[in-house]
Amino acid sequence: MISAESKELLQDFEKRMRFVNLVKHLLQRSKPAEIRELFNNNDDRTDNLILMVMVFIMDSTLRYGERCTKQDITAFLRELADVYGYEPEKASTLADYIVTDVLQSGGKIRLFDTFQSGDDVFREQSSLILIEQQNGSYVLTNEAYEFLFRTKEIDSELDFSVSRFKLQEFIRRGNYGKALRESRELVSRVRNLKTRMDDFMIRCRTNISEVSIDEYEEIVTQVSESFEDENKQLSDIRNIVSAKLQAVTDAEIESDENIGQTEKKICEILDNIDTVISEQSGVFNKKYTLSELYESLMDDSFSYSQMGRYDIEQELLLPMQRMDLENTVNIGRLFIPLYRPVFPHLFGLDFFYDRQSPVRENSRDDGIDITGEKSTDSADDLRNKRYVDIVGGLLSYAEKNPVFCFSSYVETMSGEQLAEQLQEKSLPDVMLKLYGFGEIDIADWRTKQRDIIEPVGEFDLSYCLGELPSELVNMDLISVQKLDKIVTLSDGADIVIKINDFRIEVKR
Amino acid sequence: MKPESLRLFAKLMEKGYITHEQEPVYYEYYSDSEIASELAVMEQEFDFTLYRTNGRLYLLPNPSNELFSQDNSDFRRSVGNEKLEELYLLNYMAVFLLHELYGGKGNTLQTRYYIKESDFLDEFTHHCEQVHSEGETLKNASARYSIDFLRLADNWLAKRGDESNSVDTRHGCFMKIIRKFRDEELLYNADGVWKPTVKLNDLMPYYLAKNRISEINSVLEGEK
Repeated sequence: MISAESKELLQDFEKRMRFVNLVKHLLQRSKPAEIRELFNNNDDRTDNLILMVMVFIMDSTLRYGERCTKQDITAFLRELADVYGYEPEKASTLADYIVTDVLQSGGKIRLFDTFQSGDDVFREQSSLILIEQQNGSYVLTNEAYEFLFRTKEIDSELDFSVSRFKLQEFIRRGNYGKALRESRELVSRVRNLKTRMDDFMIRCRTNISEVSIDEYEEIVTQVSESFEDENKQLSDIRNIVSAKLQAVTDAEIESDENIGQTEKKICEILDNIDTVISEQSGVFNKKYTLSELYESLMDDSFSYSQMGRYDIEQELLLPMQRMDLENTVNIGRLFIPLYRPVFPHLFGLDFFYDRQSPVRENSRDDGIDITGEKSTDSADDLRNKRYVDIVGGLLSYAEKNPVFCFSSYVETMSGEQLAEQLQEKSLPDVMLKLYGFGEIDIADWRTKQRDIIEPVGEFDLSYCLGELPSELVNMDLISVQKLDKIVTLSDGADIVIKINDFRIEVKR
Repeated sequence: MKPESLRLFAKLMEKGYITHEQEPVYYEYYSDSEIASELAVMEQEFDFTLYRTNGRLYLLPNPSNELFSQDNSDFRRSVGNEKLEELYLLNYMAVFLLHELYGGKGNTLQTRYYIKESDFLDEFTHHCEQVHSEGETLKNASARYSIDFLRLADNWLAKRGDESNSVDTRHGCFMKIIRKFRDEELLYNADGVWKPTVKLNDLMPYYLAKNRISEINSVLEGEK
């Protein structure tokens, strides 16, 4: 004898078996040789095709006004010929087989021994899939439709609402037994949704490529729909149920047991409804976590990290240890992606803050001879000219002497020249600045476009080079190295400056 | 071209990135597929990469970018126009520093959460000492190290240990790099140690992605 508990859980068992019986109906079919040949004896493929035909029929017939004839089915099968590997001409043979032999069981009624939960006995349950109508079109039976709906993985929104609706109806009719069952059904559905979400999230984390955005959208849509409508409905039902409970407890008691039982049922229904409402909220909140998770996984960082990383030591440090100095010029480019992008600016703020002469509180004593015949050049102009002369002098000397010492060059200068260039310590300043550059890439300077901006008193090599005739500036590289010897520069009067000697080399 | 695409581009050029929190409107522009595809055209033509992660969208010029990368002369200016040897040393040190922070193999990328100056200088000095001694003793050192690199190591070892800021001191070199990284929002000072910023952590997975190796090789081989 089955216990009361077991009886509970076996309620409506025949409904479950109906599902299984339909599958058996499809699987336990005749398998003539000529059909098996078409699929190379691959029964699995044939199963697939049969179900596809069923889906096709369902889809055709659900559209308003459309009928599904054998010709339609044949056309569909012709489409699938490539996929399954049979010849398109065989489509009509297949259509006959599937429609008549399989789905209609060759006209025989299929019966399956099934346990009936009401009576605890086995009875023959019939399984019918396809019905041929008088006009020659085909329709699926209700159980076939239900089966197809359930073979889609999604717990359709419909199911949840249906359960909730049934719950409502049962409560209205005072059928608390059934209402209780429905409420349990609701609980299991919402838990099912929650499990699907968790499962989805886990699959996302482990392997994003397995998860499609469609699936994500499905779950998200489902959740939001489920929450908004249902929450309200369930709250309404809850109110009704509480009211009923109140009524029951207030009513005159005729028979203790019955009321007691009813009360118990109603309480449990209330509990279940509460559970559903709270779990629904939980699922709804989870939806946001799910969205965030999915979005973060869809970030570029994820796809970049999926493709693997290189090792800094291997790809950067070791190669850099083998480089020749001249090839290291552009290594700085490695950092470009990490730095801010800057629009090319020819007139940017930093230009003004670059290489400024120091700010003085008192104006300079420029020593301009304002009474002289010379044109009234400003102090800056004079200084600029002086710098140009200094550089020009060096470069002219370099024409004939590719490698020379600064001291040698100085000896060739006239006293006047030297005195002029020593004004404001210009000559030693320039030499120190040139030494600071170390290697001056004239070739590079030539190729770059420059704006001619007059310096305001500081030494600007670029400007000086620009002011000199191009024949003087046709070398590739100038290198300036410090020597240990000390040179004394003097204008013969009060200026005496000691400075290191330099070795200047010009490469063409 | 949609005006939003250009607006988004201009916005990105301001700081180099936008965040979902602070520039939500612009961030949402990128979700529009038309705008995203117009930006992809810009990526192609202007030679940069858009990289979205962690609620931020970054605009990263490619190493070959001439248009708006901070080119070497900018870098030279910002590190004070040093000679090529010094530049080689500073660049090598900078890569070494990145390696200290992100030298992880396998799943862990980050090997350190901060850089302490003294630790770093010790490590780098030790590294240079090793190079130097290998250079002296190993017969086939030339297979591993170029002459210029051996000189780099010697150059470092010859530097003074005092606290002045000139590149003649180890501290000076370190600070030159740190200052640059700080200005570029890659490191920040936290109680006397230097920590990677959100930006640096965000960018490293991109920076170290395997599919960038050919780009990197072009730079190392000196192609423009």
